[in-house]
Amino acid sequence: MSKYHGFSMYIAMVKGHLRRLPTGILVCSCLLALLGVMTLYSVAGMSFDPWAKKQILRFAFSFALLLAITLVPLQTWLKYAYWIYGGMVLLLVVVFFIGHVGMGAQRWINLGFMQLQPSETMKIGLILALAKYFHGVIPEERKRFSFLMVALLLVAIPFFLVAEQPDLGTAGIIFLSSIVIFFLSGVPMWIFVTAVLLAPLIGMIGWRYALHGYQKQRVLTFLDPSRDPLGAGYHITQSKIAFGSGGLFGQGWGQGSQNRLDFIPERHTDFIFSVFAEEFGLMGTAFVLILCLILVGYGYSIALSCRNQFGRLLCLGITSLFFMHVFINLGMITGIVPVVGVPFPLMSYGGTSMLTTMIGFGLICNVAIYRRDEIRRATLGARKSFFGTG
Amino acid sequence: MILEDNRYHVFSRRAFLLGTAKLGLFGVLYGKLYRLQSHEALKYREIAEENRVNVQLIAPLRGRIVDRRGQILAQNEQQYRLMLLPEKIDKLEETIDLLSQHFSISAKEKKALLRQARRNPKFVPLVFKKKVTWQDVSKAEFLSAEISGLISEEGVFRTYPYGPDLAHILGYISPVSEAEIKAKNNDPVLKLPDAQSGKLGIEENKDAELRGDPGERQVEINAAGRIIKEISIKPPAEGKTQTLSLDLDLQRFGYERMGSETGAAVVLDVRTGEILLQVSTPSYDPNVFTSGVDQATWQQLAQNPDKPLINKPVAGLYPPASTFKTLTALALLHYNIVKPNQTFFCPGHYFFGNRQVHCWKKEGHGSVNWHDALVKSCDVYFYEMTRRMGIQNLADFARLVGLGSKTNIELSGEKSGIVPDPAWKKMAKNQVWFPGETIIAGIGQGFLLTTPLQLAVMTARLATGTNVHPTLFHQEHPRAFSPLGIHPDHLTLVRQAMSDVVNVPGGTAYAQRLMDVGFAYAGKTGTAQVRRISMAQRAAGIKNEDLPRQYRDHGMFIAFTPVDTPKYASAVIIEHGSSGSRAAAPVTKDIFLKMHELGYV
Repeated sequence: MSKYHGFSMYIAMVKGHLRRLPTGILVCSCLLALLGVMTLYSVAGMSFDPWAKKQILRFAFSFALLLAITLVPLQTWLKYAYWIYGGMVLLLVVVFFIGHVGMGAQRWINLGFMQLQPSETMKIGLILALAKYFHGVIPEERKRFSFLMVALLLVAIPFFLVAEQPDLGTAGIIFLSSIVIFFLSGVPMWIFVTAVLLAPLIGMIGWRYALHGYQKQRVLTFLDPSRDPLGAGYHITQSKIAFGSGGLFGQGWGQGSQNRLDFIPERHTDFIFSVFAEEFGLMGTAFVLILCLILVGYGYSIALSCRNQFGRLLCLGITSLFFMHVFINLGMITGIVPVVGVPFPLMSYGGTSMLTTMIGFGLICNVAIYRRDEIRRATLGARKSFFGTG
Repeated sequence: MILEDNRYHVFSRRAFLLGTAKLGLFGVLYGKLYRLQSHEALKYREIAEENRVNVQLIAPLRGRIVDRRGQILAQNEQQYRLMLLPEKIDKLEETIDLLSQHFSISAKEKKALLRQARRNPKFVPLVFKKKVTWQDVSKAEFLSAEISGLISEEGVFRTYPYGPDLAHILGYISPVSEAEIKAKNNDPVLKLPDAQSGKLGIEENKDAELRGDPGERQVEINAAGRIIKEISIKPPAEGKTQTLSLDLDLQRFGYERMGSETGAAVVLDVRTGEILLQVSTPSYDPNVFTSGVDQATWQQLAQNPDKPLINKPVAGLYPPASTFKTLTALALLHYNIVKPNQTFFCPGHYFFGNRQVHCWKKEGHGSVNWHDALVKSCDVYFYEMTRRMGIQNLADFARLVGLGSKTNIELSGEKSGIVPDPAWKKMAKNQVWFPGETIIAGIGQGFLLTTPLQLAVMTARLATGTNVHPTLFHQEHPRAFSPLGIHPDHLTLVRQAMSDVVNVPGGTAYAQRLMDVGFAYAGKTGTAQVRRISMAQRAAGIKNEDLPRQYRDHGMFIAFTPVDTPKYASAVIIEHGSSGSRAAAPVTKDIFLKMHELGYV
């Protein structure tokens, strides 16, 4: 039976939930978004057009969505996890066909007010589905081959749909974030060890049969930047110059010469952090790293204090997803990892990335609110109330 | 709950591992940021600055060339060129087609433009018409209303307002070659687009001074190479103006006076060596060379038998003929071979061994002394006296007076001429000297070759007794030339004889004497054989004027003025002018009259 009755009760419940929101996540994400908007303003030559204004609106919309997500009980998310997953896969199939009808790589659906990239939202859908799948597992099942195969199938469908687009970066992130959930849910260690040992073989097969020419090129350029000084290697070099010329305190907002003079490629999307680094220096970049560290720390503290497996897996899955975006993007623009098109969460210009990140943070907040709920393994059907804490 | 505890236990343990890994990776990121932004910041700051700033050189204006009175001989003229900005044009080919309805653009030029457009970034303008008229500029302005990206730009071009009058002295400029840049110490001015350097003449000789120093413009450029803004500018320094010793009015008069005659004329100031006039005909227009001469024009100039491309005053070699007798006569006194009043009989011919040579006057001059022999230009007298003097004395004396070596005038291509003697013949032809060659050297024929400038310098030296050195540059003060070491009395005798050539009846140039103008001049005629006259022709009495032009003799005349205190010396050569008295002396006379009009004498 529900504790609350009527509209006033509903308001009281909302208030209660909002009180339990982890404000640190909200503050940090607002700060990241603010720095992103400031950088976009600078990239546009100190102007709100064409990016900063839109980014503000998107953030406002995404922030509202985050709050809305926290209002839906965790168990409801658990209940509809597979449906959400299914919906995302369907969207991927749609772009897959649109893409083949149109020309070249098609990665988005035009919603009118924004371009939706299903491969981004798919990440959340997959984490939800895997969290639910492993939530329902008993220790004996974890070791069964057929059990693992179903989980792998859940990963494989979106992985190949995204890799076919072809979007190697996103596919890789989808793969890695599922590995994290497999790992956390207690899949035996020897399987990971074997996988690591087999990785070179799989890598060689993939190199030969799966990678597109330009993707191979990127990996080769990463290994030896001088082989393509005017292509991807040039971009990385210019990005590193931007970082370095920023120095300790930066050249000042709107003053970065690498930014103003177009030396940095993709300045409003993947390389936005290079612009930020040039204009705000090590002080700025270290500050952003600390914000990210705080966000990751929140994820861990919420996950470790959560009393249900679904919440824990969901929370750390999304936290890891966020971390991977930060690490791969920063690694790419500073030359630690190959050039793969991964945006910096909340700072890069892009609607779907912003939306996905905030939905993810919404779900983490949601877990924070409902972390004391103990949800039984597989008796969802028995629950009678939509709201409530069983 | 056991299951839940177990699950939480596994989860927390693995979350700890994962969290540690993430912390480690955060550490890696921070380490990388620290390295880039602190450790290597200075290095990257420098690279960023190099990225940002581009130093562009601004071409200096080439120095002007003016005459002794500051009148402009070579200048920089503002002219317009028409260009297209490809970035503002959608369909370049159609635009060019449209333009060709208004301006002449050949199919070849169109192809070249399209090729250039493909090669260059979109913001690099395409120049499709150079040196356009004002009408074309206003037409382009009108058209730019419908053709965006059509612009006109001011450019600087070298022009020579008096074209052929001074072509050989000024030279011209043309685009530099790679080899030239290297040879000239990689002067950055030469590396500028559209850079030109002096070819021939003063333009070549004073190229380094005329070139000037480039300005520097520091600009900020973006990744595509487009200029964003100017950071600093240092204006270029214009090349040094070169003031020549020439008098433009006199030069133009001289060129005009030569008319269709081919040859050379030189006038120099004996006190300073300044060349006031130096004409070479036929000439050419150097203005056609600055914009690139076309094949047909070039062929025409190169194949013209009258050699318009040769600067005849310094690079044309002629036998000095009888003008040389002034020098021979002076040498006779100098080496004490004859006394001035000693006479010799001229029967009109002279036997030398078993051969007979002739005086120009068939009937002979009769008994002549030193003075009469020079004034009447008696060949026989000089045959005999040169024989007595010997070739070595004559050659040594000719060299003393400046023949046989370059005058080192400030022009390239100068020839040194030939003063023959046995040593020269041994070296040049590996043959022994024949005595007969001595006597024809005495009258300025045979192997002897001189440039008109050498003759003018020789005249100046005879007129002053000093080592006059010619120059094309204006001298503020008289130069102290060293004395030649010739006895003043001998010099006076020669000058007197040269005066009598012009001013006393019987002199070969008496017809060209000046009357009632308040000054007089002295001179010596010469007629250089182009072709040996055969006995048959001599017998038939065929006159030189009746021969085809290319076989006629060269007429030459050397002179100085005024007679008493010489200030100016001259040499004029009229190719195939038949004789010095009839072709070259009148030109000299008119030049002196013009100089009188201009206030020189």
